[in-house]
Amino acid sequence: MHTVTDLHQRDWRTGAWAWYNHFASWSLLAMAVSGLYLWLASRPGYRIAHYSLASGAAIFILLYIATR
Amino acid sequence: MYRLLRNTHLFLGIGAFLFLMMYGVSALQMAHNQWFSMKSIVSEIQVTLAHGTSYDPRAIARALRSIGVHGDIREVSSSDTGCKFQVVRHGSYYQVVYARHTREARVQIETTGFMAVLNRIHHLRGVWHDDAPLNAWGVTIGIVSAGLILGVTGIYLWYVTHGERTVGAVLLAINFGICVTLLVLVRTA
Repeated sequence: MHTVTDLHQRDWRTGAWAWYNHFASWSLLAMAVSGLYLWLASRPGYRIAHYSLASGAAIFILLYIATR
Repeated sequence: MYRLLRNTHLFLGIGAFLFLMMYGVSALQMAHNQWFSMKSIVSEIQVTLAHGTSYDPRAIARALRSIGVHGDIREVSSSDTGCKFQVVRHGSYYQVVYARHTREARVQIETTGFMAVLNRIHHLRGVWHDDAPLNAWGVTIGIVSAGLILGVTGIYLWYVTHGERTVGAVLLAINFGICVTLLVLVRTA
């Protein structure tokens, strides 16, 4: 179920599930971006959020470089 | 309580931002493969290993670390004349053919671009890898998954915002209805 994303399915029910998965993927991106926006629009000076973003990004980038 | 959960939601969400983006973007890449270039670059090098290097494929792989070959060791096969194995990590794939009598390792290197790397990270799990950085990814992904508590705090934060309770409840009910209906339909397909 998790990997059904091809919109051209033989069965319409599986196709409908693929559309639903698509919707979920775009929603995930929208939630991440809107969450960032809501923080910047409401409490941009909140220091803990700065540290959280910096440490999360640093871990991601360092691991990316280490395994690249 | 509200303040604590709002801060927890913000703290976890902001910290996991790049990870969430990675999952979202790589999911789209898998759904729309043609949107992104997934071309790989293939090259080949030949290395003569030092005297005394063990004939064990893992020892050979360790010796090849000095030229940047590191990752999970797979598809190992040995014979009297040599051995073959693969070393795999995100976006890099090494096919190693080692000749015992000459101590020469022929390494075919296939490297891919950013989107292919994201794809591989999307699929990564566990801490049983041969390579420490891959295990570090596994631990980090586990922590981010535990951060899915974010979803629960989001529901709470919405619920206590009285002005948005009705529209949110309607959307939640519609989504739940669609999801359950589709699951039942797919199950009977």
